[in-house]
Parts: sequence; structure tokens; C-alpha cells
Amino acid sequence: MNSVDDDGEGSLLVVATDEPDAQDGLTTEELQTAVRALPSVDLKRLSYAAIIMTRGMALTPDELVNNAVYAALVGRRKCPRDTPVAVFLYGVMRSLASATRKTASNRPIVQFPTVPPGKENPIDCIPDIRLNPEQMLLDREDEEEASRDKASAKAAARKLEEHLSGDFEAQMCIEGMKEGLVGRELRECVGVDQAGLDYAKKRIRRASAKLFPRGWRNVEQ
Amino acid sequence: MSSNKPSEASSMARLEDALLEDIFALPEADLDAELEEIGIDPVDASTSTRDAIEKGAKAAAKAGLAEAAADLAAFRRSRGQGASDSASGRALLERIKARDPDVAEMMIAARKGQQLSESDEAGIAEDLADLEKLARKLE
Repeated sequence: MNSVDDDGEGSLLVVATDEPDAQDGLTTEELQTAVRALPSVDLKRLSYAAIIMTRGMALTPDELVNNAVYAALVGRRKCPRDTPVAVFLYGVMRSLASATRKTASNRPIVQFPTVPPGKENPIDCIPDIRLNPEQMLLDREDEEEASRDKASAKAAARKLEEHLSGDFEAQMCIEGMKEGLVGRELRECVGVDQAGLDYAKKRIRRASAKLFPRGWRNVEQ
Repeated sequence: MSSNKPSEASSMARLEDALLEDIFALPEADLDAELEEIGIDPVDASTSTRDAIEKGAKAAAKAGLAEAAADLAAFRRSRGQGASDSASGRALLERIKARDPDVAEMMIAARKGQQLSESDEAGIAEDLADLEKLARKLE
């Protein structure tokens, strides 16, 4: 979660989707009224975000928005009163997209066995495939998926770097954002003012759209 | 020995998150320009998103109604409100109306001159059934 930095600037505070019921949040009726009254500019922001998030997925951008609104209105999590509704919805969309990716890849949560007492030899900790062949297959699929993500990320990072070679500001901006820098820290890292930073980010988004039409996770080596 | 350096995948995910969040700070003119660059008409984006929101809101409202109906049914079951109770309440209501037409008039007067609807009568029948059960308990 990114936070507002010292000089009052920074990335948006994305909350609510990872937090339990907030005492001071919008009621369901208030949220329903608010989402139906979102101005055109926020609708376009949600659309743009959904387009990027659903690249390479079977889910369409409108389906992601539709599902997010449903989840926001029937779910337990409340939109805090000091959070813009569009930002809250974006957070829900982000969670749903992540969950959808996990479902699509059938990645279960893998629990590794703890070391049995008296069995310090790592060989003794390897689960016996005869006891749980299904789990072993799932473990292997999970490793393959993690390996694909790693390979895709490396290939994507390399393509982005090649495409933006000569664009020092964009490259520094990428490295800064990967490190989680925001606001003044990011501007200082890149060595530009806010307008310069905004333009660098625009060039990065443009490059990403061109290089990763199906999302960076589906980039082939 | 594990490294504390984030993986390339998590770094790329963090980059994507940062670029996405930045969209919510874009001025409208810049937003429209970026949408057009990727072949999306900004007006269409706004319209289709509003439609998607409306669809999600309607589905949520329907789910809320279904849940309320299920809660009501469960509540009635817990009170022991069954078909036979409704029937006995209905029978009692008809006896009251037949025995004393003034009572029927009072019911209409209480509804400000409007005839009792089917649901009004059903509600009264249920209340009468509850009263009958209470009366039997007190005997």
C-alpha cells in the first residue's frame, strides 16, 4: 500500500479492500447512490484501469467493473468516507483481478511440511509421493506457474528496457516505481519536476500498451 | 540462503500498480488522449462503464432482496409459523368479519377508506394466528 509522503503528494492511498469492516464507512445505500453518480471522468479512469488489468485475461474490462460493483455492494468491506469511491472501486477491481488470475491458473496455497522432530536431514522432510500424489502434482504446477511468472517478468522487463533505451528519465522512473518510490522521492530519483514525471509515466504506459497487449504476465521469452 | 531483494515478478507487479494508481490522478484531457491512443473512444468508455456499474448495482439489489426473503422465511420457520397457522388465522379473521361487520368497517377505516388488500389480510391473519397460539399458551 503506497502512502502520502512528507510534502503531501504521492500516490493514492488504496484502502478498504484489505481491511475489515470500517466503522466509519459508507452504508450500502450510500455506496450504491455514489457509484451510480460517478462523474464521467471517474468512469473513464475505471475503464482505463480495467482495460490494463484484464489484458490477457478471459474477463472483459466491463465484466471486471460489473463484478467489482457487485462485490462492493454485497461485501462486508466498507468504503471509508475519506476515500474517493472510484479509488475504492479500483481497489476492489484489483483484488478481483488478482483472485481471477489465481483461479485461472488453479494455484492452490502450498503448505510445506515442517521438520519432524529428530529429522534434521532435509531428505527426511520430503513428503512421500506415495502418500499424497495429488499434492505433489499441485506443488509441481505451482512451481511451474511461479517459474513462468518469473520468466515472463524477466522478459517483460528486458523488452521495456530495450524499447525505452535512450529514454533515461523513463528508465529511472521505472526503477524508482519498482522500488516503491512516490512523490518527491521519485521526482528526485528521476531528476525532473512533476510535469516531467507525469510525461515519463505516460511514455511508460504507452510502451507497456504496445509491448504487452496481453499483459506482462503473458510475455514470451 | 534467501535474498531480501524482491523478485522480478513482484517488481513488475509493483510497477503496474503504480502506473494504474497514477491513472486516478490524470487530468481529464490527458486521460482522454491516452484512451484514444489505445484505440478507445472516451465517450464509449464512459458509457459502457456506466452500463457495467448499473448492471452490477442491479444484481446486488436483487441479491439483497433474495437474502431478505430468505431471512424472513427463516424467521417465520423459527416462530413455528406454518401453513396450518396461516389457515387458522385466516379462518378466525373471516369469522370475525362475518360476526361483526363493524369490525370489517374499522379495518377499512384504519386503512383510510381503502379496501384491505390480499397482503393486508394475510398479515392480519398471521397476527391473529400468533395471538391464538399465545392465548393457548396462557390457558
